Amino acid sequence: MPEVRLVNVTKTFDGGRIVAVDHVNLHVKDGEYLTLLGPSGCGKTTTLRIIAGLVEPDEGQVYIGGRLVTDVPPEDRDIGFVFQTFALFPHMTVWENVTYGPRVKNWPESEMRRVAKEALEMVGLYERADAYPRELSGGMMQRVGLARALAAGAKLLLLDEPLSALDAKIRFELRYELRRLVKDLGLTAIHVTHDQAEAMSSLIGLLSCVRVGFCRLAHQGSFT
Amino acid sequence: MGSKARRLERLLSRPTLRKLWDGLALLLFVLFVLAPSIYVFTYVFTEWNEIYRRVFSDPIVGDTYWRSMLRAMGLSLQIAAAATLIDVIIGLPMALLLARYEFRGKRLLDALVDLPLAVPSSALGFSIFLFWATGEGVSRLFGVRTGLVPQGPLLILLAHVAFTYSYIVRSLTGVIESIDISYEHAARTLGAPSFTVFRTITSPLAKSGLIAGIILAFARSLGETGATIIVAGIYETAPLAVVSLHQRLLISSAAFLSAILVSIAVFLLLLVRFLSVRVGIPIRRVWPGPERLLSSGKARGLRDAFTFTSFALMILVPSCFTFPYVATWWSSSPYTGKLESGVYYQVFLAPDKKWVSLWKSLAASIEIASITTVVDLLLGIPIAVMIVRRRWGHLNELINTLVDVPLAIPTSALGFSVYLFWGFKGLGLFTPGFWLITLTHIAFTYPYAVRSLVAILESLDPSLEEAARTLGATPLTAFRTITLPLMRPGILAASILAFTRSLGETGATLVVMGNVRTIPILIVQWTESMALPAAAFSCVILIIVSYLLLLLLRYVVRGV
Repeated sequence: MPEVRLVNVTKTFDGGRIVAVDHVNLHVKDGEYLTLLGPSGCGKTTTLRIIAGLVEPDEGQVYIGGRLVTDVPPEDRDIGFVFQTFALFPHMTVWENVTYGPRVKNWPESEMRRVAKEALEMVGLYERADAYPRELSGGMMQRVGLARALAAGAKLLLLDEPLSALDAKIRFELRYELRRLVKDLGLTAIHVTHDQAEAMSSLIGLLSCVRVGFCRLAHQGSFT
Repeated sequence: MGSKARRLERLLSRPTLRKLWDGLALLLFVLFVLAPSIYVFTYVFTEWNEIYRRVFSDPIVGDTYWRSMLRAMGLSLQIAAAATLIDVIIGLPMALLLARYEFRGKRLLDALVDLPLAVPSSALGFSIFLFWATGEGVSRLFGVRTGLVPQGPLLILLAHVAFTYSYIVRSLTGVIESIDISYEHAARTLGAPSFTVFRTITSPLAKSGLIAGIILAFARSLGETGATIIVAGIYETAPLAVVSLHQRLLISSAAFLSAILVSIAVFLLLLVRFLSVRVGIPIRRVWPGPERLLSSGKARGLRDAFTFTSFALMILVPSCFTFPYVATWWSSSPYTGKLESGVYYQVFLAPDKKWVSLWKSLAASIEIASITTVVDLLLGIPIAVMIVRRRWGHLNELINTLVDVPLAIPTSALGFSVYLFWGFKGLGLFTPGFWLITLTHIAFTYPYAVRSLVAILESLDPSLEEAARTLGATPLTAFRTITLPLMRPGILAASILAFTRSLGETGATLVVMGNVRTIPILIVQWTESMALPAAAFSCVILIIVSYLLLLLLRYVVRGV
């Protein structure tokens, strides 16, 4: 069960001069959609990357689904990550991007095809499977990024400012699409943003900044 | 700057005069760089009958020359291929370390990787010779008094690996750093272990840069003379064959071989520029078991250990070995204790007064390098502006490619071509000596200078100059007051590159030197006469001087 728990997680950069994450404790229950809201530079992204295993914390423990994963590399954490800049592999087609996860996990060919097709149909881009990322618009690219994360079979979705590189209209559309998908699939999601409008969800974690680069989770609760 | 100067600049900025400037800059480029570099073709063309008789059907030796040329080119190609392959194997993990990992001492390692670039090639060759081929270096580890690797193909290979290593690592580090790291992060979160990420994401994206780096390293190895001449012994690579044919006054044979080398070089250059090579790195298949094993912490530790050991043993220590050697041999031989074998006696006290020739050649080297640098900047800045700012379509591209031509030509062939162009077979203006050396150095350092100038100009926003124009500045005033000051780092880089290249050059200088000796030439000659302590001392002086001058240059250009 993809429940996430952070215990006293701390991360400093530049030999301890910059404290990015300061003893953060966080608990996201299974099936919850948590939005981490805070101004830029306050450690939201670092927190998310620590959960993904892309950044190693100096102190503290990370649990995913009750398993201690602090020393587990990202590829073994069973997560889906959606990047602000999409990070679609430019030398692969949409289809190859979406099947990348199942392929490196060595799933059977038929299974791989099924999940990739499903994921692409979910975001409405199955007919663009042979396109290269450079042939897509920003909104399409982010949909592919989402489909790629979903196709890898993760039950925990980590979204790092997924909408901020898109223009206003697309951002508005995708915001709802994202919520709906996550809810329909019964995933757990942690969504990082600095945009308050984007943060309207069942659960909001506010990262308050005492000073830039120095944060603790000030409030965790529900707005609705 | 007074109003007079501005009025002058207004006058000079007039469109008709501007066209004249462009024409003049191009003419000078052709006269000083391009024509001398490829003049050898004209010569081969006009003297073809003579060449044919000499090379292919000599009445006495038949086609002996042709066959020895083929042998030399075969050796050169084999060594270049092997050296490039080894460089990629030991350089790729190093580039990955430098581009993607943070660790203590990274900046030091980064600087050490560049060290062989700062060591002039004949000093590098001598150092490698000392380390591998005499009883002073690696043999001491095994307690042997003779060298482990004698002069010959294997030693040439070791020298070429050492001097192309920095090029490969530099270009690869640049390419890998330019790849957005989120691609690799994305692949990790999708479940790919680190080795799979490297194979399926990093290496395909770095492919074009890797191929460019490989071809450049290959071309450098193919054309290297200064280090090779010291480590080759009785063997002859193609550039060495040009030197020796020239020394035996077999002008037509030397011209023919030079022409072949220039053709190969230009071909390789075009290969980089225009051919997008499709090298298939398999990205569709996955081998989960072996790749997981290769991604494990233990495998990574092994890889790092291999990277550091190979770098230290094959590149770093052999490149700098002259320093400990001079230190141990300073006053006397460490074996016999004889003062006459020491560096100090050989250089300063012995009757042949080596320090006098050392001093003279040092002065000549610095003068030549200074003139070369100034001329490079004067000729290079207008051409760089043309390449970056003029909208001439294909003409820009053509000039851009032509500028690189001398870069790829083996320096001994280039020197020979310049010698033919300015000398008695061409314009008849210069005989071998100081000015011919300078002209040769201008030709082969020019691309380095222009490359840096083009790079900095491309990074400058053209709207800055446009803003100055809307405020009332003429084009020339705008260039002088806005663009030129902003170009300073690029001008610094251009000067450093041109100066050090000139200071350390051997192959071309050997052909055009007449009775003038530069320091690299001195090192070659003293090595040939087995005056090792004196040669080692010259290497140390050369390395220290080029390093100090770099510091000075940095200081001066910053102050302007």
